[in-house]
Amino acid sequence: MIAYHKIWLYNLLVQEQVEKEYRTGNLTDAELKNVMEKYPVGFYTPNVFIRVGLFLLTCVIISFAYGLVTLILIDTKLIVKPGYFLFLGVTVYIALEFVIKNMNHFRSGVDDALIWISSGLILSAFYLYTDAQDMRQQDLAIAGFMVVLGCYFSLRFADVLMTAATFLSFIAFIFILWNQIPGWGLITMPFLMMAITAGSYLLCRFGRHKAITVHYSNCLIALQVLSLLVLYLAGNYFIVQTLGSDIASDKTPQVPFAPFFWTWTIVLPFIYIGAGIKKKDVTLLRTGLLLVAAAAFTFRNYYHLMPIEATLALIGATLLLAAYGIMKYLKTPKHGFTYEIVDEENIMDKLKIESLIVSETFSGTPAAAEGTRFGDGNFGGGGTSSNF
Amino acid sequence: MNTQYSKRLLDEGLITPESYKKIRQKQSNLLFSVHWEIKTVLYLGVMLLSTGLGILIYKNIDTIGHQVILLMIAAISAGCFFYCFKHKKPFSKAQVKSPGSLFDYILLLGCLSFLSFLGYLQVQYGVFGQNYGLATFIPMLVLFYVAYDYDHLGILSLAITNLALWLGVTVTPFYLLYKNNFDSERVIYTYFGIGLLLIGAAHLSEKFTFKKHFRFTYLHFGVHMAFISLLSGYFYNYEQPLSIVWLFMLFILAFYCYTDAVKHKSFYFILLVVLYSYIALSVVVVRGLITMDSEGALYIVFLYFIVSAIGMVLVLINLNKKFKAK
Repeated sequence: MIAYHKIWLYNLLVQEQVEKEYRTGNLTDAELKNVMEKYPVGFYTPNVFIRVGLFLLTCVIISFAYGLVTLILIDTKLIVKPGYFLFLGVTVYIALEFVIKNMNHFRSGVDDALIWISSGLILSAFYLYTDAQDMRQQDLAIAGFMVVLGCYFSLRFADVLMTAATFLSFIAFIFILWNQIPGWGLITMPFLMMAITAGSYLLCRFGRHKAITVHYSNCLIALQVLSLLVLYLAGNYFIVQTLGSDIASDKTPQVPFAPFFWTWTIVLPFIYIGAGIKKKDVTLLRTGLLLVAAAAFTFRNYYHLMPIEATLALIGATLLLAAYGIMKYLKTPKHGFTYEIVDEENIMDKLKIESLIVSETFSGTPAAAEGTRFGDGNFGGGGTSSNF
Repeated sequence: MNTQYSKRLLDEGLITPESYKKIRQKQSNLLFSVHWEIKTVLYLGVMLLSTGLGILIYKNIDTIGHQVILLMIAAISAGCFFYCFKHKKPFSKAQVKSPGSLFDYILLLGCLSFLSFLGYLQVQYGVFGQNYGLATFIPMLVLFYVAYDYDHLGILSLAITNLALWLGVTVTPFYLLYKNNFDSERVIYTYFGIGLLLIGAAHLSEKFTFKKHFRFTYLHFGVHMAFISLLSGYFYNYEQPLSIVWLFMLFILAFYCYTDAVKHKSFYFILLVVLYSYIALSVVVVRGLITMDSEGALYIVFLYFIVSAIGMVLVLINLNKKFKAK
């Protein structure tokens, strides 16, 4: 099913693992060399910067190539027909298969771009088709088509973002479908979503480390994170209330089972964190930490205990103290936890990417010029560390 | 390493039983690192605290409580600097490894609250009077001093931002690209000047091996600013025949950056040089074709982009290969 050379994919996994062991000093030079020779990888996979460049340039090539074709056909009625887009999409898809099979591209930027362009064009073709047919259930049909198309592309190319998009289309599909049940469709929606996402999470956990999913491990992680997020959002008080009132067009909706949803909103993130610590599961832990913020925002949306700036300062101080406490506590590793970096993998890459992100994060509040109060950019600037 | 892999490698005789034992032993008492989680929490803590305090004084500036807040901010800043001073390692021209992430973020908090403090003093008591240049110049000096003395890349970025602010412009590439208003020649010249200055700083840091690792940060800001200001300089003077001089300068700069990037094997700067020069080249070609003013020219524009982008792909792939071979 997967488009890439299967043996090379497997060898790549072996190489990655062996390199990791080599870095920690468990393997000798000779052993590393042996394994690398016995498990060769013939993919063309450039580093991340070249990948970005190739991605952009591939987009330029495809758009101008199709621009040219469209320009030639401009006087015909062909260019608004769904068949035309389908033709374009299929051509790009053939190019994609060619690049992978014959030029051995793997996550090179070229294949990434072609995956998205071809699936996008095929989806546009379907959209035009439903439009032309005046289809009654257009939303539902499009969501359903996205699921089918996304499943195919995800399975064939093991692309993480594509998997995520497919999962979200699936959720949308179920939502639209269930919402059509008059009367109790909307009321039971949160519980249906909870059941589905809990199911998909358990399924992903069950599917890890199986021979059949060996090349999809990153996709499974993405699915786990999304399942956990949607599972939380399905019971989040704010989401339940807003969606409920939007769809029912009821001005003052009473949220049924309010205590249940409030408990869900506040307690679930901590359950994630607790389970993450207990199972030493990074996915659960990080998702939980993220959702604590969501819980705090939800709470603040309904109960104003103090002004926003005081809240910010207070939370900031609490976070600093908490971090300080944990660092002190883990000075010597306890219960299998440590503050030290266990694997120094890609630390140089991280340095560059982190410092780039940091310098961009704060550009949204450009320090104002003269005349404005506080014109010295006291919120600006980044916090990258120099300790790498 | 996964058991199935290591077992298989052992069976194939690719790794020795001793190494296998080591790997198994490591696997059995694997430590779970919360390093990045804690770092993120620290980062968020500093950001929220300094933002919160900033708004707090801003809102309470005319009330009675403001002096208390002022004192509090001064105390936080002083406390942070005191902590960092106590834990600081002696100054060295080479890279000084930081005592820990906590140190880094405490220092950042100290600097941010120091900036709030100065801003407050200026607004409330006008310590710098109408001399706004001085109001940004002094923080800049302090930031550069702290960045060098305490060896902190984040503070260095802050200092560079402040340098541009002192000269009256904002600098981060995102801001340049998305909210640019290059409506006056003065702004373009200022950007270009700062860009060259930063590239020069990067070069000098390396040449005199004085905080050599600051090179990347200087160059990152410098290259973006120089290229973008040269492109905007060209568009600003589009109608004049001499506008081509801007692009000519751009290609000279691109050549310098290219040789520099090859020397340092920096893929990031290679990518920047390739993309910026490609944009400049395309601008010239498209302009030339538009002046022909015929329908055929439009077709050639499309063909040009297809062919040239394929050419660029090949260039990138070859450069990548060349780097790897070295």
